[in-house]
Amino acid sequence: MTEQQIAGTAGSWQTFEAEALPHADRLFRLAMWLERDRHEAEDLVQETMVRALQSFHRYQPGTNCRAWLVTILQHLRSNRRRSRYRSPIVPDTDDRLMTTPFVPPVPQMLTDEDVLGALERIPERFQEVIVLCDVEELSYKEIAAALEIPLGTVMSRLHRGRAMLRSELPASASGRMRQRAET
Amino acid sequence: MECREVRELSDSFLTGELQTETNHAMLHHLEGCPACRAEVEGRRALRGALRGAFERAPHLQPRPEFIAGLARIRDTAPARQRSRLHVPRWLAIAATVALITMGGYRIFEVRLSADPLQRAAAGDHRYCALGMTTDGKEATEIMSLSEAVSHYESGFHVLEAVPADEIPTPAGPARVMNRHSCVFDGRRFAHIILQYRGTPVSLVVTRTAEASPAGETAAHALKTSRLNDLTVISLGVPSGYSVFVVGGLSAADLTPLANALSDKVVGSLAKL
Repeated sequence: MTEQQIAGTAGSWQTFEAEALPHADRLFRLAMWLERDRHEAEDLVQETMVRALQSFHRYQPGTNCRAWLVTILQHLRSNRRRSRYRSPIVPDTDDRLMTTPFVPPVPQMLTDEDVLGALERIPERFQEVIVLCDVEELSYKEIAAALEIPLGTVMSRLHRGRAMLRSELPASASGRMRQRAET
Repeated sequence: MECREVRELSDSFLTGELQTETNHAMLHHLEGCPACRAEVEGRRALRGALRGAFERAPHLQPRPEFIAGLARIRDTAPARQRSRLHVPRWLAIAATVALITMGGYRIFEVRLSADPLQRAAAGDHRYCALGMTTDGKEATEIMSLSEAVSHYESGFHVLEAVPADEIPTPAGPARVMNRHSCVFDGRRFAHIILQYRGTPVSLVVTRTAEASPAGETAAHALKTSRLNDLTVISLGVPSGYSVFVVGGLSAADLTPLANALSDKVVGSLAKL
């Protein structure tokens, strides 16, 4: 960062503090879910915030600041992964998913463990879009920009991912009930 | 609207992604269909459960001191740490060979008569894909084109697909080996490295502050300069982006590629 850039960002610090920093909690939860490692998640969120501050003059007030931050975080994350692995690390599971058959009804009385456990059991690429849509409340367009994938892919991953998530739910719910019965 | 359609659209309905008319049709159907209403409510509950679980799960919560510490990024203003781009082995070798063969030249000491923009375009772009500068320091501003598009120069998106990976020229094809964005002399560039006539050639594009003269863009006139051992061909200033082809080849050898690139790249940028 040059001296001029630092001077420039200093002027917008108060706006940054008001607009961007309040999203740090949610951003961390997202990073923690994706990275599964507290140190990595903290590092990722801190770098996201540094990058966001450096580029804050490019943020358009009135637009979704959280979506903008999530986009920076996802780009950093994918760059890190690219630098660590020379080939794609997620196997293409689309073919298998083409046959996702039955979508059971959403069971009632779900616990947090049921939901997060089910989410954890589906492939990561589907977790990502579901979390960005349902937890981070990003629009399909914002998800497409954050993950650098076409809009149609976002929609199909959401569709399949949700079906998979639901198919995992009853198992975890019944598992919990079995566990309770045993104790 | 039928039940099947309602089920298919119910997630988009819940996320507010439907057009107004479709939304109305959904609401109308849900009013009279308890089964679909239960389905939509189930999905809404699952979304809520997921969001709530994230907010409550103890292992996902940040340490308060970490969140408080984020305010310090203002004071520390740390240097940016760029991830290195993956550089194909052949390119590293090619650039190293070029570096060795140019050992006798002091690359940064270009002639004072040269235009500052041309000097920046010539720069040491042949080495930035290695993640280092000619004086051995780590290059810190190298990033993927898509990241540069998101954060710095939206117009660079054109260069993610243009030129195509293989560009035919009368002297044989040029092939795109790497696309990235880098900084030289305080100026951000889109940098595309091509393999042409057995040697790496750079296509570099940067935003110029001043508006381009309309005639210059329209004419696509090539302007050739020689900086030390490098040939620098200016392809014009479409939409305020200066476009250069830089390489160690002679002007005569580089011009067929410059001509081939001119139409595609300058034409696409001019549409911005």
